[in-house]
Amino acid sequence: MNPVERFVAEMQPLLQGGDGAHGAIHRCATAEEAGRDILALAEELSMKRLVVAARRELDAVAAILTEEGSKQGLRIDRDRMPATKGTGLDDTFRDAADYAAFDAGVGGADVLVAESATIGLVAGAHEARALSLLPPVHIVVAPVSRMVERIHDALARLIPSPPGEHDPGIENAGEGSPTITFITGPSRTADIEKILVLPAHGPSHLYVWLVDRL
Amino acid sequence: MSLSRLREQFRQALADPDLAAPYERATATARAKRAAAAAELPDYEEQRQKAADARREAIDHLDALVERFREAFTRDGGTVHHAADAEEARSLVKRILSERGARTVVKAKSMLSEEIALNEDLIASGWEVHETDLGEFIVQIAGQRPSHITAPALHLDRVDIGRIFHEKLGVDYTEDPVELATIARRLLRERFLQADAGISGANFLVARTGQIVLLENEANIRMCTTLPPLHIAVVGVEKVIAEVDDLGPLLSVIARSATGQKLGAYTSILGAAGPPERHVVLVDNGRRQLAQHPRKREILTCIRCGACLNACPVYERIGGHAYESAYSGPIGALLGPHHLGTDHGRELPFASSLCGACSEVCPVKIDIPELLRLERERYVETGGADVGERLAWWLWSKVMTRPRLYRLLARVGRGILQGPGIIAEGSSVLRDWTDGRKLPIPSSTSFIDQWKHQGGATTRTNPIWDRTRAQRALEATRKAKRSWAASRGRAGRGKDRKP
Ligand code: SF4
Repeated sequence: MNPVERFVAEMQPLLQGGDGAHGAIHRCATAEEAGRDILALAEELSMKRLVVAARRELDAVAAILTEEGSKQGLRIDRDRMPATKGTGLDDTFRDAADYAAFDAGVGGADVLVAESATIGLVAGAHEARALSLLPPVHIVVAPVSRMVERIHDALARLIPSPPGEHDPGIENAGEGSPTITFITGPSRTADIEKILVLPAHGPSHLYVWLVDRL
Repeated sequence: MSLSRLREQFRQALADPDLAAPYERATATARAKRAAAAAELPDYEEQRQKAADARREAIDHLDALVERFREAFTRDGGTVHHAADAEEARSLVKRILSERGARTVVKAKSMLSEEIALNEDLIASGWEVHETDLGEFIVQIAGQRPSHITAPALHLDRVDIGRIFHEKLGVDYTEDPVELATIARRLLRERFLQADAGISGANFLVARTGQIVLLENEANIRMCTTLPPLHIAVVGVEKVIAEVDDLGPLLSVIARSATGQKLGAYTSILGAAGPPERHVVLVDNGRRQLAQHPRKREILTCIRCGACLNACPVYERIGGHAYESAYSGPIGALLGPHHLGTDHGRELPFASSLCGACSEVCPVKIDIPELLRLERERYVETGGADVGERLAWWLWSKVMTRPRLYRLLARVGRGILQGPGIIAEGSSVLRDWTDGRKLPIPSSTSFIDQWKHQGGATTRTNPIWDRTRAQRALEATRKAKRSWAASRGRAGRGKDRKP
């Protein structure tokens, strides 16, 4: 099994709740395809508002969603780049409460870990801290080229030594030590009789598009 | 001092017919999941060894690494505070909150905050504190204490929880776990968004980078550490690790050991980007002193995965509350004497059968039974054993080192045990023992006589004394001391890793 197949296979069981599927994982060739798939999903789940992360590589996806989405009554917000790079988000982040009002957050991934189907985000922006956390659905569009085998490889890629020399592919890393969020499936709990319940506090559904060229 | 109070706790726990069921169900599942997850990873044992090495190295260089962490965390704009004990930790947290005018606090689950009784103090001092982990939330509104270090509400079933929600939150009774979780999510979502401060613990602190590592499944920790404008992590000093590289092995074993997951749903590695104000309160509370002990320092390498609780036959029967400590199970029995500072804590090392199931599963290879034995030794040395017990052991050692006397007494003993009504079921005078177990009636000839009779060779040394458990334990201690010393001088992870 190659790493991409492994990622897909590992992701499947993570998306199963006691009450059915909590997301899906797809492969596609281009950003355009992913954009159209997301439109179909939004229609199926009657979504009204989406927010797209401030990553340049998502520009194409955002463009399709904005153009085509209006035809189905879908409003697309584009996340802002943080006002100050690096250190804490400014006061406007208090408005991040608004993120809960979005039906879904569309973001990317800075690394993908095959062995555990984990999505890694480096955060200097709202993406890791609000977009992937507060809306009930988290959508990830990421190039397969970011796939690594193990969590060890992901850490080595995201937290270089010496600090400060980031992979040029990582946007929004900011200054100082990076803040990283690894996401492995939707939010879950088993605190009641060890029975699996999705979600707990975070997103209930996770949809992933692995794109050949983004 | 005697063990009477602990015994009484355990007697009560064992007398409760409903107590063990939820524990047995949960721990059996957890054991199976852990075993499957460990078996699934081809190099699990290698990762486990690396995780154990990383933790030992961290404890060996504790002070240097803590200082390194402080520098890095400060460089990224945070503030590090040091608390010598529980009281200082609590007042530091209160001071930070007061200075920022923070009144409402959302809390992520942290065993350390249980250890220092942070919630009680904050609430008594007028703060509004909301636990946000579902299990911890249930336990908090019920006015109870956590019963497991990773599953706080393990002792409650869905009917209990449904009733608690109905009574305390005024919602309609339901015992559907999905509905119960939804109720908690709605309620807490508002609190996350309105809270003035978030308080969490930490799974690891990375010394080089100043990052705080937090693991979870629910996303409540992500909320607590990023939404409010102020984040305070209250962390035991021993949580520090040297390097980001150490996280690979540690993350590979911790979730597998705790829940059988490859990784929990969320692994947060908090760096410079975060809330405007970030504080870490490093709590000693006896840890640095423990780090000085050549052997017991190993206790500090614990990563609080809970696997030893799930493996422990004693924990499973008496439940988490019988330990009367923030930490239960085998690791709780080890930590008790060091952090509780009560007589009761000193007795906890006796809450074990020393069967070794805990150390078999421990992801950082802590030799829990041996350490429990050392704690028992200390208990006895510091006058813990009463006169009767000391006399009994004195007699035992006299008899065991005198083969003739031993044989004579053994013959007398056999005669007594063969007597009518001594062992026979129903009428046994040893009922306390024979009710739960089978005790065979001893043979009328000793093993040594039978051996001689069959022409086997004999020596003058008493075979029983030759390899007693005590002697083997002594050897094990020496071996462990050597391996600890060897692991400190380990080549390869060499100089460049030294802080
Ligand atoms: S002693 Fe070992 S098994 Fe027990 S909680 Fe600590 S790390 Fe886990």
